[in-house]
Amino acid sequence: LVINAPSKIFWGCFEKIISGEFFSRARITGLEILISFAITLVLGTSLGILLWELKDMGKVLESFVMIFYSVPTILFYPLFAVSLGIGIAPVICVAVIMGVLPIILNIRAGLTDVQPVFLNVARSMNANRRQIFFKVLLPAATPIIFSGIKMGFVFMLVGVLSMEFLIPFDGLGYLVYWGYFIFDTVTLYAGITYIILISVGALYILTLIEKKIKKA
Amino acid sequence: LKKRSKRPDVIFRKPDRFIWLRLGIVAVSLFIWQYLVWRGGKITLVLPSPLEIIKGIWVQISSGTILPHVGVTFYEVLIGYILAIGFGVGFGLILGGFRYLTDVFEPILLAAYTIPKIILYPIILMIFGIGINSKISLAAIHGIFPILLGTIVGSKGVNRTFIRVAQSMNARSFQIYWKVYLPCIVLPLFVGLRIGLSLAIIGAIIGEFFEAKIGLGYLISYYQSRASISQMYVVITLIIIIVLSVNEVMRRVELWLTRWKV
Repeated sequence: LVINAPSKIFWGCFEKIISGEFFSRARITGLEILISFAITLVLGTSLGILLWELKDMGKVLESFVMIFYSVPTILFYPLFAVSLGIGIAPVICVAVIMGVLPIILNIRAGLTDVQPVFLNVARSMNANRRQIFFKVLLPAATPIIFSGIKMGFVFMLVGVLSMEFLIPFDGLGYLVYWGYFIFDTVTLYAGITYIILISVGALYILTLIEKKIKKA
Repeated sequence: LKKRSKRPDVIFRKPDRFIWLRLGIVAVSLFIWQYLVWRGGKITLVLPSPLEIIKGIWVQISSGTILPHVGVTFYEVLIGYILAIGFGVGFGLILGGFRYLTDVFEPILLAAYTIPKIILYPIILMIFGIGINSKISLAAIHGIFPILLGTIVGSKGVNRTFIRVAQSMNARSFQIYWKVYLPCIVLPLFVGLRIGLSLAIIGAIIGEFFEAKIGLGYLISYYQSRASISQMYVVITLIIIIVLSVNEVMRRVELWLTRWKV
């Protein structure tokens, strides 16, 4: 009754795709993921570079970011749900907060840890600030920055998918909630399968990109 | 898993030169927050002031309403964490001890680590019912992956020569585990234990939030259903204080245990 056979789950997933329910739900989830990732990337990059530019002050502010990092953001979700209403907004808020912190920390760490020799060489060749940043600092810091972006994306994905389950209104997480609510185990397992496939697939793609960057 | 370059020698290290600046920033932001709420307007509907929150925490603790909830959540986290450590370290040592098993299982475990585990909660609820057992299992599932991965990463990094040396000195297998393995894996293991504990706390509370009769998570959802936002802030602030202090204690212990490493 509780544990379903994989074959049954497979056909359940298939049925949901044929009936079009999968696509209408996945559209919302995809939209949330896209918006959150765009905000996360822009916000994380700019704040990370800002903290790096601020030098000592950035070090002080970084410790606050670290503290926020160890605070379980997902626990704030009732507050977001109450103040922003049930819908796409609290999902994106929580996801962005979860995703932005590792990106900020890694961008600052990556840019700070670039060997001073590189900078001195560039300066001795009369490179201006802009050239130093784009030609020396950024390529040197890329592996660390990318691993930050990867972590940020994974956290953001966890945020989006669990928020959809916790604030049920639409999306793939809602499928799981609804399946539990009306005790329809086929829907429940189909939703869980989609979510697992999405997170594992995203991790796989990111790992491939990371390998390519490390090789370069 | 993070690497640390600087290692202070003691648990209670001296504060650095930025301590006053840090405290100043905290004080100024709290003051701005308090001022915004004092000024009134729409913001008071969704945000209580810091003083109100502190007063609320005091009232909750002195009247004792929150204590049974804290107790239940503590019990769930404790049992879940013990289970996570037992299974995590046990399987981690087995999987990490053999090259082949490590190569097979590490990618699978990494992938499982990134799945939002809360999604599995309906299945857990159907198996264990809505009592505390389901929260214990959710806490254990949340906590087990970092511990498992930390143990695997650690035992992968154990230098084989050390083990051969120990064997040539006729060390028993438990001696090898205790004297060679443990000191070698203590750093990644402890990182895993620290992350695992905060994840286990999150797991238990989220589980209570979704479906429960008692516990801190239930308390939040109770206040949410009565739309008393200031009380929600009180409980959440309390949880955050608990999590941060637990995390800080674990971090200090971690630094102390690995103080001999460079």
